[in-house]
Amino acid sequence: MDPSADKSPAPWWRVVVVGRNPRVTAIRLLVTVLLTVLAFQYVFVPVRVTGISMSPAYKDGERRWVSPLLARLQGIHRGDVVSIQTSGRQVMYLKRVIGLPGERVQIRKGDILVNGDTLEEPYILNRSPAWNWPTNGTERLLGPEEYLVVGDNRAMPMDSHYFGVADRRRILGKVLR
Amino acid sequence: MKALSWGFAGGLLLCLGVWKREALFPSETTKVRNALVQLASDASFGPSEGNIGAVRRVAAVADRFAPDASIEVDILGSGNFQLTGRDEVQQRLMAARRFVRKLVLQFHDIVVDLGADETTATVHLTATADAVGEGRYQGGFDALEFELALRKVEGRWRIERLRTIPTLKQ
Repeated sequence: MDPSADKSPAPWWRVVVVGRNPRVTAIRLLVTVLLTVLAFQYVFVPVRVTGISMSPAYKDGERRWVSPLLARLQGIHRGDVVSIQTSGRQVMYLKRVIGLPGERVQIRKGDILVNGDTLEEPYILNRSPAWNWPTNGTERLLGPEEYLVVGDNRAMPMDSHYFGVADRRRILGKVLR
Repeated sequence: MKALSWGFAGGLLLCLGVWKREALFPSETTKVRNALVQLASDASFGPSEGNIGAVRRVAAVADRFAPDASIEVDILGSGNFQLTGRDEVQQRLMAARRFVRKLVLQFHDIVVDLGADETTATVHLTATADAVGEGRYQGGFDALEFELALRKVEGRWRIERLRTIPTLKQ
């Protein structure tokens, strides 16, 4: 005689809520939650762009994904767009990496100079010749964990455009194209 | 199955207990956070607010500061502000209200570091402001990082020092 024949079938509502095998359902749920938390914490972080400092590549209101994992695996290179944390992750800056650790950087009449050479920037539409940085006219030597990050919209006045040197610990990840 | 149901119910009860305990008997960290959220709410106003409402609101904001509070704020495109004392905060806020018709101030990512004696706290937060006004008050700001020092005096958390922190170095 089949021993399972003695057991009455589980009520339909229990099957709907916890499945035929609750233990398997619980494990599936746990794994799904864990993977989702890990994915949204370290692999893909959703962001919404606000403001015009990264125009024209990134427009106000656009939704993008940032990957901390990619930044860790591939490293951060010149031209990458990265998100920079403030006191947390709710509000972050989106900027393009222009200068890398150990480089001498300067902005002179709107042109970016890296180790004395002018940087080609195809992603920029217009640039204002009024941009000069550092304001004392000298080059800025980036430290071992420092990156110069600037927005793409260089047509806007320099004193309305937030840019500067970001520590590596502040860079959450790369923005996926 | 029975063990799983009991486990689930127990977990739910535990979550409910922790949440209720925090709601009924908030920790000092939660009190600091709540005080700052209330400050942001008090500082925000709409275009239809009258003079009496404005005076009341400014007084409520100023009351969150210690009598000898020191404030140092650097806003991109608007310049640097330095204020000392609650009275000056109140005067400057009242003066600024004449040029601002609407303000929505929000605090994000409030990180509270409570002192060992639980009467002092250091807070890091990011503020965003959407303002409709004249001149340098138009537009507000996208994201500003602040560091605040608070002290609990007579049961209320008050700001002793407030200054902007540069996210990006120059």
